[in-house]
Amino acid sequence: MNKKQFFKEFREELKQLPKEDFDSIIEDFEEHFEIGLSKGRNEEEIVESLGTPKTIAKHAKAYLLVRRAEEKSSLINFLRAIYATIGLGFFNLIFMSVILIGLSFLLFGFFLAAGAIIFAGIASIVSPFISPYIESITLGGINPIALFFLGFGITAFGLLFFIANGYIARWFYNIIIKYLKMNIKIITGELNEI
Amino acid sequence: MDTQFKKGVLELCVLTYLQKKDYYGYELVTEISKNISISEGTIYPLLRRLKVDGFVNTYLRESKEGPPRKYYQVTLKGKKQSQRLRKDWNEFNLKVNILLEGDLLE
Repeated sequence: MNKKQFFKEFREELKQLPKEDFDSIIEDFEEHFEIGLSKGRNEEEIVESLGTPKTIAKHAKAYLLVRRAEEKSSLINFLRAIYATIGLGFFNLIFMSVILIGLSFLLFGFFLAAGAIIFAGIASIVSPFISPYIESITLGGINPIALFFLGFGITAFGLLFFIANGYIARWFYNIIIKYLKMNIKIITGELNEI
Repeated sequence: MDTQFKKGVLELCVLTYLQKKDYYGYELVTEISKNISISEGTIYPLLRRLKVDGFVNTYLRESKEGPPRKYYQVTLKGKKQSQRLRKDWNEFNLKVNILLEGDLLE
């Protein structure tokens, strides 16, 4: 077999390879022939020691195609595949909505409780003044002055609880935003660098 | 020798040679085939893979007798890989030797 026949067969065997690999390998063999010929060997001798195009191509494919497959199994690609195949995006949406609604109700409840405590406090402050005039309001034997100051304490506590709820709501909002951003990154592939 | 087995050993040989000096393809191929009987052509796909995996670098250098040649240079990652393969090879060798000696004793 001469050089021309070798390359014809070789190119045919290698055509499955990605272009970059293909070009690089062809180049290597051209250089090999060039140097071999310049050292006084003839084409047939060189082909003889190289081995058959089929054998060489088999090695090339084994090395290079397996590697591509391995590359494709990176974690992010794996995650993306899951998202794509079982629609985790959709699953996430439902899953997150349930948590979101649950937490929203909880927060709403907290705010309501804070409001109720504040109202109770104000009622305690006011009741010593209005109980002498309205029959249905009784102080239950508690000292009116003590009740008045207790009312301030309860109101302050309710206000603090209300403010704390504000912080919890903001923190909760930030977490949701972070979570959504992470999802978008996974879907669009920006996590590749990690 | 089994070809699969040769292939693994070939990687160790190539990386070992390249730790002595930088070789150009033809030189490395003829050097290795002096010691191991192998189809010379199979070394090039291996070199390509080693490059893609970052175990070797290539660069072009002018030659007196013609166009520039592609030289191969081992990287730090390649040296580490070489150490790993050498360790595997030594362990394998040791086990086979123990097995062979045990066989002789029986």
